[in-house]
Amino acid sequence: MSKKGQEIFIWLLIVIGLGAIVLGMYAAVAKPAVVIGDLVIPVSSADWRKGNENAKVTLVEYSDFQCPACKYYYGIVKELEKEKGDAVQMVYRHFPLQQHAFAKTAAIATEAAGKQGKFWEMHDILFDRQEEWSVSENIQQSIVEYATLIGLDIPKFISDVQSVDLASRVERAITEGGTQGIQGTPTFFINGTQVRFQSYEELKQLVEDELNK
Amino acid sequence: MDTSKNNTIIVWTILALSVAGFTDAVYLAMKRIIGSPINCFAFSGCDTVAQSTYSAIFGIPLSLLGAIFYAVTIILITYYLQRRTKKGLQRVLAMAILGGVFALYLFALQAFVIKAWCLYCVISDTIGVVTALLAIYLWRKEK
Repeated sequence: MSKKGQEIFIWLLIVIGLGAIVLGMYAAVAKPAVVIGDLVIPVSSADWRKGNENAKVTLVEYSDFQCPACKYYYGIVKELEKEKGDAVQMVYRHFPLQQHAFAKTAAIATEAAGKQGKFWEMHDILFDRQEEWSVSENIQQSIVEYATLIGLDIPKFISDVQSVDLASRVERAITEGGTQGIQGTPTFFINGTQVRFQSYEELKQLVEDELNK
Repeated sequence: MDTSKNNTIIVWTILALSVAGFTDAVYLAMKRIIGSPINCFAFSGCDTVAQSTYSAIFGIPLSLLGAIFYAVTIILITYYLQRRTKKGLQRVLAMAILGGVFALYLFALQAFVIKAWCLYCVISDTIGVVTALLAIYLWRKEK
């Protein structure tokens, strides 16, 4: 082969090689996510629930307050709450991921707020201000600030946040999430079946299908 | 081992690193462009880093720029391997330094601003810095 021919051959190899890498990565990313099956632990009074307990549709979410994707889905779920109201019951289950430094602290803060009947208020403010406290220099201070904003009894809140009880409650939730096979957040279940959606419209459709059953 | 053989090994190392960097960047870019649904997965800080406001410049994902960067580096090195001209090496050096400096900036962003690490980004940034150092070393020896 001439020198020129050789050069052309090498360039061809490079184009094919890089193209193969692109296709390979496409195949790796495009494969559907793992299906983890139906809800193992049934919804009970031990869960954080919101809405009508006898609703025809129950939406269970495994979530992490510091996860950006969870914040995105928080907006979608809020919209559902507004539109469907009592027709849907919401359930929140903690699954703070290891890589999120303050996710556990945030989960404990919602538990402490829950002791004063304000779990959902803390849940909302944590998602609303995720960008702020996620990079906080003093997470305890941020959380106490939010507790003040939602009108909690601060001395009680502080002592609850430090209690072993609540920390072990969150740890238990993580173990249970593991049992469920949760690999990422958020993971949703409608009436016990795992569902996926990316927009409010898709979620609404899933809920309506269930309501019409 | 004589110098020119040694230098050839360095050029091939840069090429191999660039191919690895390209693969890594394409993976991240694909994840960003078609990855669905968005999720935070256990044992990875990639969700925080790759979805942060710093992950794109003028709407173009950095991972895509990274893939283009590595592809251009691969082309420049192949050209240099064929011609062995000083100009060819200069181009490789310029590209590698550009990549190295940008990689250092991205390291700093993860450490001090986003305060989270993404393994795939760290791999890409490390390759960028190592490539730049190798190219500088090669340039000094060949000069």
